[in-house]
Amino acid sequence: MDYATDLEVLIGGPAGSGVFATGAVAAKTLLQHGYDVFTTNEYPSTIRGGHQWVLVRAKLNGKAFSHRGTPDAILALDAHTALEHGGRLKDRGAILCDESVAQTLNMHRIVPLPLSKIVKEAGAPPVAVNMAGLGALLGMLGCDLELLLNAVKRQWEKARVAELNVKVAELGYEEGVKHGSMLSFKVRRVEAKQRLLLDGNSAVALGALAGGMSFFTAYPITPASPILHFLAEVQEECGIIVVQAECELSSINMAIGAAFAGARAVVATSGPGLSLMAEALGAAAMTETPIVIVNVQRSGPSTGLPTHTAQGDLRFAIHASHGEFPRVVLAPGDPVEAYQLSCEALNLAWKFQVPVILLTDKFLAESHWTVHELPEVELQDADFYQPEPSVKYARYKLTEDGVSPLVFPGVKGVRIYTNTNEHDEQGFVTVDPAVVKLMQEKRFRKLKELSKLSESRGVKVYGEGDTALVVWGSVKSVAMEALEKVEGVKLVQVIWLEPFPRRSLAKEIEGCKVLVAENNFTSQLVSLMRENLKLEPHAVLNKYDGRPFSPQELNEFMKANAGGFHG
Amino acid sequence: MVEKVFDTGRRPQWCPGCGNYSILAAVKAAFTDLALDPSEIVAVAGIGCHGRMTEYLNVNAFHAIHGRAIPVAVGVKTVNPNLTVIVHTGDGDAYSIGLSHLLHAARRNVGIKVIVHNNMVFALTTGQAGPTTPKGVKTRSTPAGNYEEPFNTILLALASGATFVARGFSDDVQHLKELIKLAIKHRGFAFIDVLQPCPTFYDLRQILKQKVYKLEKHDVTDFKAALELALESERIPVGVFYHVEKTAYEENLGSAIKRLSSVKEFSKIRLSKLLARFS
Repeated sequence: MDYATDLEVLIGGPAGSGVFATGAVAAKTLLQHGYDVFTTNEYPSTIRGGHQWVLVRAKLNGKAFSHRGTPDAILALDAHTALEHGGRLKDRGAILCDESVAQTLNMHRIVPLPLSKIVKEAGAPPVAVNMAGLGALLGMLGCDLELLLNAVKRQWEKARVAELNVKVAELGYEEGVKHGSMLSFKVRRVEAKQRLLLDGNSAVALGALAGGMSFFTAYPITPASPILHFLAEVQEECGIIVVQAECELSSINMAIGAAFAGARAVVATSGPGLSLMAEALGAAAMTETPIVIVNVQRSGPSTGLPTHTAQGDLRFAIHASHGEFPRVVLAPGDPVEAYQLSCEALNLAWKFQVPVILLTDKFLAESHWTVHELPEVELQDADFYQPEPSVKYARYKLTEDGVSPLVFPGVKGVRIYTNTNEHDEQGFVTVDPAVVKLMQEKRFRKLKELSKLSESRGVKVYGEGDTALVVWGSVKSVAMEALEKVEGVKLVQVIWLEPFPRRSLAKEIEGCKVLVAENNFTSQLVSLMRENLKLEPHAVLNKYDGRPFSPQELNEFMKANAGGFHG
Repeated sequence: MVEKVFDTGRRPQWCPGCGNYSILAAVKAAFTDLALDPSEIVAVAGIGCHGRMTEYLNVNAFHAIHGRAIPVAVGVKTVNPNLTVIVHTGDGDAYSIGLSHLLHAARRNVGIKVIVHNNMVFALTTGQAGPTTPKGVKTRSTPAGNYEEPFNTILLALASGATFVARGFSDDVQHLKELIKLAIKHRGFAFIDVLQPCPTFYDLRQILKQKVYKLEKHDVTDFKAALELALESERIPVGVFYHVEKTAYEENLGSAIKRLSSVKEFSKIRLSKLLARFS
């Protein structure tokens, strides 16, 4: 008998069959066994019907950076799942399904199980077949029953529902044990410190809380809504205001109003929402009101693939809104970075009084990674104006670094005039060419310090080699996985996209053969490299089918284009 | 006597005879009567001729983009309910490009006070028809006469759940001042549609003077009676149509607001409590 050190299981079924809950319980159970767990999913934009799946990868020695895409076991809640994914099943794997489903399938490695019977016997509703199936799967894998049942119990809030699911899972587990010989590899329990299974969306929300966010607003949109759900759930506990706005035009303007009144405000959306916010983004910049916009990218253009991933909004985030103004665009590559950068986004927005856009994507937002410990982040308070007698407050005072004194309504004797029109130091409308010029220059002076920060924090490097694979955003995670099978390639991740860390990126890739991989059609990072570094990469790999790269794809790309490959 | 304290000292610049002069005077007089502290007031204005209000009103001000004054004001009021938050918005701002925000703020009963400078025409853009321009009126965008029906703005506000609905006439500053005072003292969302002649692009002054009459002996808590009055077309009632008390939106967030100051001390203990669900 082997112990599974790198296990991948796929759970699939029609939307509404509890696929995600099943995946969550599987992931938590394996996490509690001491494995490093990664999960990702795919689902259609429907509530009932349509195929969806969760993939759970668990590694014993080392980090699960991403999916492998070759499941060791499949829990098929319908025939479609077996047919769709069976072809990628590993040789020694198994496809578990209900007897009734098995009858319709003519495939190898099928394990027919009396899942519906178990559910009936337990007096549970038919949907509970998912827990019977998961119980069976984890039973076959030799998991610890107690850890499984504990995870099941924690999944459901209502005691009665939890109880039924525990019963079903236990019966399923017993059935699975009987078929244990079908799988020659077993899950092993090892001692491990308490760890977290964190998705990108939650990490962004947590980072914002750590960064002092006190006002959050959003209009529901996939795949950003989980941020709203989480923050709405904890709003009382955290003492923050959460507002569901009537549209994205409203949400960003509410955030601007909230920030003007003194709250660290964050708004989350996806591409279509950011499109709607474009005008107000400029308003935040012109009024120098600090706001953070989280854009969870999905496939476009237009409605596109609402539930699928992409990196198509990079240039849009950098240029959105008319006119010219400084802004910051940051892109985390995993939940730890999402947590750090979400906090940092607030610090930067308030220190420099500029809009900051945090670019994530569906793959990062809704996949889960094992996090050992969240890094220390620090809320940095901005400098606030202290009223001086007989000195008139000037919201847009011309300063050396371009940052003007900030204060909120309610201070005796202080009048704050904030204006989306071009304005003078006091905030009054102006068309005076000399003042207009001074104000534009004042705003852009902030770039000096921001560019320094970008150069010092904007690029991360992993490994060594004379070939550099340059990526941004969630491609980092897949690339980390791919990198494990490569020598001579270093991974270069661009975290600050605006202002662009021109010098530090140039330094990192100097003398290297440069490869770039992006989840878009037009190679938007490459275009920034051309513009800022006057550099043409040796090869570019684009993916624009709504799916993240697979580690294999990146491996092949590196193999075809780099020296020193031993994969 | 209006105190200078609400005056920025800038000389107002609107067309001679513009209703905005009177609205500005009424607002300043209302602030004075209520003895408000200018630093406790926030005026949010949109884009249009009314937008210059923030140049002249010596209170905290946010001159927003077109149509979005209301959501900015909602953000302000939600975060700091102690502030008196006045929205100056035009008929283009509130009824055309930003209509949905008006209806939703009314529905939520956010304690902002919305004063619509309704001159029934797009004036700052030099005279196009708008959503309150009556049928048949010739403007630069309707040279053959407007063939669209105008909104009944009082009905809109009532249908949206506004708890204070009033109409004023800019020529009657005293009356308008009293309406503004009532609106400011009102617990939740207040809406005042102010009929305002535009002497340059759509001068209705003489017609309005003939048609307008003050509401008297009307039960302001009677919703059906308010609806009836809103449907009047021969004469134009001004005054309070509807006024009832309901919990204001920001009151629901009371506990969160109290803790706003402590958010910055988001401690490790609180974080670890939040993290339990992820293990």
